[in-house]
Amino acid sequence: MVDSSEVIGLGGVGVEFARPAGALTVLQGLDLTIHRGDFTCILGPSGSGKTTILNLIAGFIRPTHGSVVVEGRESPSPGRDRGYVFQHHGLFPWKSIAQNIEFGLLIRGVPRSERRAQVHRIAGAVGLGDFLDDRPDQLSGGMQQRAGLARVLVNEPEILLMDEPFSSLDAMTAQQMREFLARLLAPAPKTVVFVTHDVDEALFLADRVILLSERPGRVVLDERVQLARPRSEDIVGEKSYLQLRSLIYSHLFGRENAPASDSDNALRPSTAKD
Amino acid sequence: MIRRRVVGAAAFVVIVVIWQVAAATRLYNPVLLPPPSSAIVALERLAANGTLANDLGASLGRYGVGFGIGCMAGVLVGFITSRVRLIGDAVEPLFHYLRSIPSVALIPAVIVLFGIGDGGKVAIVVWACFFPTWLNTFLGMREVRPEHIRTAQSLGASPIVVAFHVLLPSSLPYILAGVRTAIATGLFALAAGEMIGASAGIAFRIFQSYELFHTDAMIGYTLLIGAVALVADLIVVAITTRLAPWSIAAK
Repeated sequence: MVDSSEVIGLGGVGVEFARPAGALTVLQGLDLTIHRGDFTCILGPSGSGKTTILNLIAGFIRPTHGSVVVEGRESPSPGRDRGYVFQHHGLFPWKSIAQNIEFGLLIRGVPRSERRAQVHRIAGAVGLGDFLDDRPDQLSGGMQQRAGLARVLVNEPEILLMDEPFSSLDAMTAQQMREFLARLLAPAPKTVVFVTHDVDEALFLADRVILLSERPGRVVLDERVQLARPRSEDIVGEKSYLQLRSLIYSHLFGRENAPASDSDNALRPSTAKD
Repeated sequence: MIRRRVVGAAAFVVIVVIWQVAAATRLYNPVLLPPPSSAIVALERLAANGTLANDLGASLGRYGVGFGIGCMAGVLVGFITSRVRLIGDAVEPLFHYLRSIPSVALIPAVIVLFGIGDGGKVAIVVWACFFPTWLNTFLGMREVRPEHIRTAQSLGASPIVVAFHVLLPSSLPYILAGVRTAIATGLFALAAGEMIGASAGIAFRIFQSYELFHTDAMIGYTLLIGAVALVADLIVVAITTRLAPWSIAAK
């Protein structure tokens, strides 16, 4: 399924942010290659530079050192070939759901009838067919995320960049959204780079899991997830799942200089699975 | 919503009734401050001989032109100063300094520069409308969520598309709040401008009536100028509700 051709390449990437207190090094000497059609999850503690990696690929920021190459282009500007899904949906509150979804088509000059057809198709696929005239604030959190996803998908991007898109949802809705995303991508897998701090989410979704260290982020683990698709909640009982999970946790908490009490509770094992 | 409007209208009625009763029972000397009924009679008299229409036309003409130019310039300059960092940093302190000069204090300078014709009065209204609109646009554009700009960019938007589909609608509630403030500041400047060297206009007639001790016309015109402001305000609120239903200002 996965061919080994490189879609995204980060070479020796360092990112520093200027601050009054001195430059903050978020990434340092990061090498990373993303393959076509691969669902890659980037896991890491808060502040490890996960989102910075997405911002680099999206073209929102440029690296201080090293190079970012997407489809052979060095440091490309933001564009519709790389759809970005934000943690907080990022829907335009001044547009209806239909207007939000059709935005990418509208600015490309796609005719009205074609836009309507596309919006209806994609809204149907994400289960928002009856909410096209609503404003974003009238929708539930899960529906807002699906609308944000629909807005990106209507542009048919080659690459999906997702920044903790389900982390602000309640546990049940988040799991429904994960299953929904997996189903949506199953017929035609896209290159997905998905940032999360939830180990179980990563294992449920990913073909490949990359674990970053604390700031400045380096790759400390790079593993393929050998679990058959479609996956269900039952994977939590599978041996390879448990092995990989404990491997990730050993890297997260077993390191020599790991803090004794980690204030970042985002990476604690989630005990309640609902 | 309807309940709110009824209560709001009732407050007007109550004040008018109290005033009217106080004058009728001679709680105070109604010659100095005639009640609304006398004011309305005076307005009817001035309407019949064409003075009222002439004054309204003169004032609304100056006000409309000054308000329009001032607000449009405020939005345009607000956009530029918020997006071009260098220009913003350069003019922000200057504008804060200029906007704190009361428009009344500018009248002598305006007369020296523009003379006593309509040009000077329009100029002072432009000045008074520009700064609140500029300030709110400037702040509103700075409040645009970077996420919205980035979303648009990653959906393929050019800078011009970002300006019209993200920056403008996102800051629209601020802009309209600025325009709403400009209604009052502009009218204030108009009244100040008409105090000097006018031959027609609502505020001119207020001062003229005062000097001639026509207190009924004076009160009538004073109430009228308030009505002009109220109507203008209602129009802006209606526009806000229509254009920016998501904004707090419209709720």
